[in-house]
Amino acid sequence: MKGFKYFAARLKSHVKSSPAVIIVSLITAIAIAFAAFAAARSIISSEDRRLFKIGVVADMTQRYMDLAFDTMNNLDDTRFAVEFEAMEEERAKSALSSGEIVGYLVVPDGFIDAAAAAEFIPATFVTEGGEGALVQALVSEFIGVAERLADETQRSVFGADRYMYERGVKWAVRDPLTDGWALTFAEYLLARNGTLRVILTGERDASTGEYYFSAFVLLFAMLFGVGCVSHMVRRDEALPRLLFARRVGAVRQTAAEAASYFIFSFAFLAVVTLLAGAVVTLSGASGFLGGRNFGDFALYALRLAPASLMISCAGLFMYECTRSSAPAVLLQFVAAIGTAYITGFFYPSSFFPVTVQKIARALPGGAAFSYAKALFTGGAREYILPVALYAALFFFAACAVRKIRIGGESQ
Amino acid sequence: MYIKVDNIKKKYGGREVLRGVSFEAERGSIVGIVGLNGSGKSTALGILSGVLPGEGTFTVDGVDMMRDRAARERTVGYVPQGTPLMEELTARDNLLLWYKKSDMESELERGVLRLLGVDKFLKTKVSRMSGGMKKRLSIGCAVAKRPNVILLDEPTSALDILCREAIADYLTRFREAGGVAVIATHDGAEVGLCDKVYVLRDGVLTAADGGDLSGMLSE
Repeated sequence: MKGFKYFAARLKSHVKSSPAVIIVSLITAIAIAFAAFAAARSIISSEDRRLFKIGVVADMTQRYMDLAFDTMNNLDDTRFAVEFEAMEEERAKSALSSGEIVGYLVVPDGFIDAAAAAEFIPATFVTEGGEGALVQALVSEFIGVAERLADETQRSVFGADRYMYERGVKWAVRDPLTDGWALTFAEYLLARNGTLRVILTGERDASTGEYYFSAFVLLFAMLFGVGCVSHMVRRDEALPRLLFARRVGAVRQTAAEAASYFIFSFAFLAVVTLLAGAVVTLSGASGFLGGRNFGDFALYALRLAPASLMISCAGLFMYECTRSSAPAVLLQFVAAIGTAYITGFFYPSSFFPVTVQKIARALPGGAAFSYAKALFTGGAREYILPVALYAALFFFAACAVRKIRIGGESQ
Repeated sequence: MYIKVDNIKKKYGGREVLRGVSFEAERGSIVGIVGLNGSGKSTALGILSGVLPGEGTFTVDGVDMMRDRAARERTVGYVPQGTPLMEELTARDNLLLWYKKSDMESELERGVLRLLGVDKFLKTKVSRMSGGMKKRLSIGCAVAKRPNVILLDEPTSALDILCREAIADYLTRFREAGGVAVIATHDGAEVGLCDKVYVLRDGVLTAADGGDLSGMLSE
């Protein structure tokens, strides 16, 4: 009963601290997200960026295939360092499953001739789907390159018209030629949307919108701990000792604190998720998140509970390890930013070396992120166990530290 | 004897902090444990309150407090060093953690909480309280079970004269009502309240018996 009264008192103390906590957390989360995104962008655009290898399955004897490769290699000028390598389809399949390449492009026979006649046969990009944000970014880069080519082609059509005009070609000859070129170009543009088909052989990973939406809510959840420092850090052991003397042991104390802190932080996380969802829905940008509506975001917010529980337990453990505000702020801040950076909250983790990605995925932040993304893409159940295990680990670690602090040396 | 403390021992790592602390007290008395900083006063009270594990026996009216935690919770009140309060909450909210609502109201009307003057700042947030208010509220929280024995760890250190007097007045009345207070202190004014004073030095407790305290501590 006393444990429950302590839980209720803790919850009340959270509620009373909430205005300051909300303001601090929101300002910090937004500021950090912008700053870190900019920093990550500049780092990733440097020479150290990761090289993405893509297989190309095509009949290399086709006309203009060299030109097509040159076009694709233009991708190197953009955000990605991409290397295309011609290979047989069987070899491409095994390279994809071993992670040697991120995907392969199957260019069908007659593709180039058909393209020249504005009769597109779609090329196919096959990928595991494990790096959804990357795949989406790559596809948009493909389209970007095509659009730049279209721009140049349009200019050349009108350039040809001007060339003929300057050399005195009569309007009656010039006009049908220019119209013909323009019409062919229009057909080319209209058919362009069907040029590339994407096939995911593995589970679908989050789209760019889903990726950053998940990253934002988890970043908020982690930085929420910074805002709570003022009322969560205990400067002496008087209250735990008095509770202990009243037969509320270290585990019951920690459980009451974890439960109240989880309810408090989850409530705010849910509100932030709903607000972000409402902004996405009302601004007409829901297409960015797979056309989801407000109800979908409400369900997403509710289903974030396990990740929120894990982050709350981790936060509680960090509070337990500190005795004053400054180290507590520092610890919470560094843990949140470090986790967010390595897990890829600010930029797709695909840009990090594969070893770093593997480590990041195994860490608590990575487990929570995988779970949050899977709430969009499906298969979230698979990630509940690691999240729950980390939550339990942090909870019992907090209990152990509490026990040590209660029984610590007194003067 | 109403309370008997016998051969309390405590080690931290290999270091022996308490090497057999023993004392006794009758009903209606205040016992002072005096010692320099780090002498083990708080450790001794921590063991008697059940917060810290330790060897030895502690009986109140013949009941073994070291074994019977429920009896100890009913019988022994403990006021730890520091502030066992929740800073964001009011005095009232903090009291409700330890008292039933009806008990708190009756104590505020004519009981210990009125005596401590807690009724005057009931709606004040702890974070806005002075050190004296916090200490009086802490004592109020610690005695919610109306214990017969109170263990107080430096109850008036760094408090103003008015607050010291309020706490001294409370302890005097507690003694008159037949209670036993054990105070860990290095404060002369608190020592003046005590019926019996012990000096804790090198882990051993020695009765002062009106001797020169400063001399005993500095030996």
